[in-house]
Amino acid sequence: MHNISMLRKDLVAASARPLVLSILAEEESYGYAIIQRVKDLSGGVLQWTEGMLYPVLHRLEKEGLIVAEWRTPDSGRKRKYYRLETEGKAALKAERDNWQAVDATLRRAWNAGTTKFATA
Amino acid sequence: MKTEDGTSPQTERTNCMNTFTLEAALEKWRTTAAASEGISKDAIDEMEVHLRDSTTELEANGLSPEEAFLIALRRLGSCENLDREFSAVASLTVWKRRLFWMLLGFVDITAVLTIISVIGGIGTCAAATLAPSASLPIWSILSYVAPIVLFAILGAATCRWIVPIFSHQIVEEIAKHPVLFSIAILVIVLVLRVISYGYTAFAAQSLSVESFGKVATHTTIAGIAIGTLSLIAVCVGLGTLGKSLGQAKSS
Repeated sequence: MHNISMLRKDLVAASARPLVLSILAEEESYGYAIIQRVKDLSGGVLQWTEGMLYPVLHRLEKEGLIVAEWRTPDSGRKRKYYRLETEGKAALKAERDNWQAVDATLRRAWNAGTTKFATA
Repeated sequence: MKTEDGTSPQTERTNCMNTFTLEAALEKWRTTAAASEGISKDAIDEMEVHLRDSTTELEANGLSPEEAFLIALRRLGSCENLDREFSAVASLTVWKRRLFWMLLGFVDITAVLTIISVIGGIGTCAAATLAPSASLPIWSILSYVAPIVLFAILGAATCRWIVPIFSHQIVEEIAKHPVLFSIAILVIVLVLRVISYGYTAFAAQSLSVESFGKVATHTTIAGIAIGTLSLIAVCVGLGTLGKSLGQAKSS
């Protein structure tokens, strides 16, 4: 029996880009908060490590999809905030289309053999 | 049961054995992280804030400051893992930095050897002009050995005391103006060479052919000796460095 919380590594890695872009589309954020948000959104299933998140963030920054700025909020510490750029919004849309295409295909494949995948 | 100042024996024992402070731990972590090639200062700052946030949250969940920091650090991943992740993203930068250090090393060694040979050459010529020919070998040796010893002491003192304190400021300053720094070193080397040849030419005028021949022989032998010794030293240094790097990677 597969434990749903043990997602395949490549799935976690592949979903990192669209997730980060989506979270930053909601509002600008910083590394630690992004990890928390992913944990909340996934109901605890996705527990990203810093070693996973920061290279993704820096790659997105290098591609010009997001932009970073050191800022000190009123009550907090000085942090590096990331913000989605216009190119980022376009990239996010492309990611959404890709994932929805894959999702639709899988659903069709599963519906084609509904009796085989009845939940136990 | 509480002691006089109101703390319980438990806290008292913890305070005595455990001098953990977050700032000290973070400082230590920063030093280790900064030693890794692949992580920039900016990335270290970002990781530090992350560690602080993590630690704060874990402390809020009831852990002691030290426990919170240790777990936060564990989650952050070892510096080697981070180094690998960041290196994968910035490999060109890493190689540029390495090449920069190699060239800097080459320039530095050239400068040091030039200074040694210049002082030695000038000393030998001066000795040939001023001193009786019997003591020429002694003066020649002295004028080569003196700068070598001086540089050895200077180098050791720099490695032992100056570099650990200032290395990052020095590196960052040099890295900001690498071309300027290299040009400055090359200009100094050229000036020294000109002085050396100029003085040699001047000394040659006042020397007989025979004693100038002696001077030339001494300086040539000394030059070869220095060249060989420094080559051996570089090989030993590279070997030691390679060995320690190999150990670091496998640990």
